[in-house]
Amino acid sequence: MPIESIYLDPILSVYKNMVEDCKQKEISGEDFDAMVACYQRMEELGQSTDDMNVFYGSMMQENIYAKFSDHYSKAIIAQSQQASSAGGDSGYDDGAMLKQNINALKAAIKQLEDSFKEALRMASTEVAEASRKKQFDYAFEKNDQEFKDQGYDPEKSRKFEDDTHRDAMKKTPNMLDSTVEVEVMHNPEALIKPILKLIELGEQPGMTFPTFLRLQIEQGLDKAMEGTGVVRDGLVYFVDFFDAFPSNPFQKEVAKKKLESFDKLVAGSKFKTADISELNLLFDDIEREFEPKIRKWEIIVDLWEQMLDDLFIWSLAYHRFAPYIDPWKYTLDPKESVITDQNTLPGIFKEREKLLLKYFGMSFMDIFKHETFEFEVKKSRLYYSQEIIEHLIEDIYSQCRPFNHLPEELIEKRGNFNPEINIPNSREVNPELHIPLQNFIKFYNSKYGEGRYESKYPPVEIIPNVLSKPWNWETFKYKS
Amino acid sequence: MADNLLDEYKAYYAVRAERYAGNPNYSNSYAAEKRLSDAFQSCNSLDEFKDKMGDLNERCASALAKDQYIMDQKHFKKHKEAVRVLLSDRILEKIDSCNNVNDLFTMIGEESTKNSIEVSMDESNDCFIENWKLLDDIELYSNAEVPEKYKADMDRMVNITRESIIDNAKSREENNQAWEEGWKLNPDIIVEYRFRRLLPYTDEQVQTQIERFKKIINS
Repeated sequence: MPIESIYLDPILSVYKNMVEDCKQKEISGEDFDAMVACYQRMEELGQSTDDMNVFYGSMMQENIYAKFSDHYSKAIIAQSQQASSAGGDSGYDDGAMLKQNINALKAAIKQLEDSFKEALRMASTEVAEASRKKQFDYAFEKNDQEFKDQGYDPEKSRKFEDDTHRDAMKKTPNMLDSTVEVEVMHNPEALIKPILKLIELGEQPGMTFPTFLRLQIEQGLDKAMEGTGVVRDGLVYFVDFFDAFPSNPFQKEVAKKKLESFDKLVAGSKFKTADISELNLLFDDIEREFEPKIRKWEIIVDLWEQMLDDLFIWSLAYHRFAPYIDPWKYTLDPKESVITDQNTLPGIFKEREKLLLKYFGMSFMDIFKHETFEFEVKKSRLYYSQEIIEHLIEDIYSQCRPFNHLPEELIEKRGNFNPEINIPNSREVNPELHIPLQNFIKFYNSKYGEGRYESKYPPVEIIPNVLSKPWNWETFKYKS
Repeated sequence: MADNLLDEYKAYYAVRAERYAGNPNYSNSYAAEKRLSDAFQSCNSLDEFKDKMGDLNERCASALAKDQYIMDQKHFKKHKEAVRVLLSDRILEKIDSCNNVNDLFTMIGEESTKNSIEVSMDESNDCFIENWKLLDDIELYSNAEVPEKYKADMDRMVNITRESIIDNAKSREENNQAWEEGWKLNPDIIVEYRFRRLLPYTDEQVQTQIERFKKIINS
């Protein structure tokens, strides 16, 4: 069975267009024939399997991408060489070479502008809606019988999806539109500017081809055309992004170091431009420096988050409403699941404690002195309120041991943190959980325009009427 | 006009070499561009250069590729990337035997594809790292002190987790066999620097976990 055309066609279309382009330019010869043979082999492979991974694997093993590109380049170069010696006169024509170069630059600008227009078109609501409809039509047609076998009415399911989508579009009319984002992130103006400067240079009266080439290098315009100005903008973007929305303290440091190394490279270069090869290696050095630190940070956070969840869930399992709430309400036998957790979570918790000690030499109380915990609190990333954390430390932790159960007085005290099992009236949840997303929205709107985020995405959920107080790190007595 | 053009070309070729001057990362490019520039500087007419140029132009492309792959080689040796470095090793072995730019680009394309597969297959062994937490979960559920009545639940969790690890490994191997025939996971490779640096554990802990992983996926 072949790969579905909905998946295969977009992959092959790039190469098909390159073949057609060559045909239109009347390119022929050995390399063109070899290029066409490569494309035909791509089509054959696409028909020989229904597994995309097998398709890609075969393409790589037979080196088809590289062969196609290689023959394409040679075919284009051969035609260009034929054209330049077609007149039979191999005399040097400076004006013609300069004009050819400038025309190529003008064609490059046109290509950048056309690509940008196409990117804007693809980012529009109209195109996204058509793509969504095509995907849903395909999914529902393909899975029609499966829906029916599972007891669903495909027509009703489709209507439900469409109605939900329509309602969402009313609330966030730009949810499928990304034209503003494309405009900000991919506007080729920064790339086109140096090209225009070059063209202006080239069209000056009396300009010659060698002087044009020399001035390009001396003014750094050859490197600017590689897009190094745009690179810097991207680096600044990430410094701002990780300042607003970090998940660890290293991300911003990495972003800042990359920006510093870019500026240092430019300052130290002969013609004040950054060499892309040197830059990529410097960036790789920086990422490798921080990668182990980031991994360790994430592992530590993951481990103590699970331990806090264990204590939280274990103590919650004694609440009178436990079988009717998460994480038990959707289990096969909620009441039995509650009892199981009451009996097993202490043993599981103790094993996690041992892992934390074994791997990182940290005890349970060391969690609260650790930089990871301080970061999660100060960045409003910790789910739990200060009050519930202090209660888990002071009252629950010592009780959570194998074969032990929470005593009655503590069941009542624990229950009072959320007597109605109703988040708005709970003292369990950090009331400032919405702050990271609010910071992200501020950052997003600063890049894409005031109100842009709100026109695309659902509103930030601020937990209403929550009874817990915001964290006050200064008063948290377990931090040292 | 012809005299002016000759001088202008001389100035252009001098600047071409100048952009690499003093940069130790581009010593071959500088030398090649300098040879090209010197050839031009010695000309008394534009026509003379056609005879003197020979393949000096193509040697510049070759020198630039050489410099870039020398940089890559140093970089990957520094970071002990034993598989990624193979690309620059092989290209640098073959680069001087390429007669022209077309052959050079063909060779680089072929070696790049080959190394891309080598790197993917090598780095797929990080399947072990991805399963570290599941291995810990098996230890956790196996050792958790619970009433007798609940030991079966713990055993069930151990079995489910073990099956997940087996499925993950099997899926990774099947996937990769489309790219390299007979590919198998090789957890022992995890002690090599490029993987080891990402594991914040002692050598003993890593070795113990590797043995546990091997026992499960080979069961």
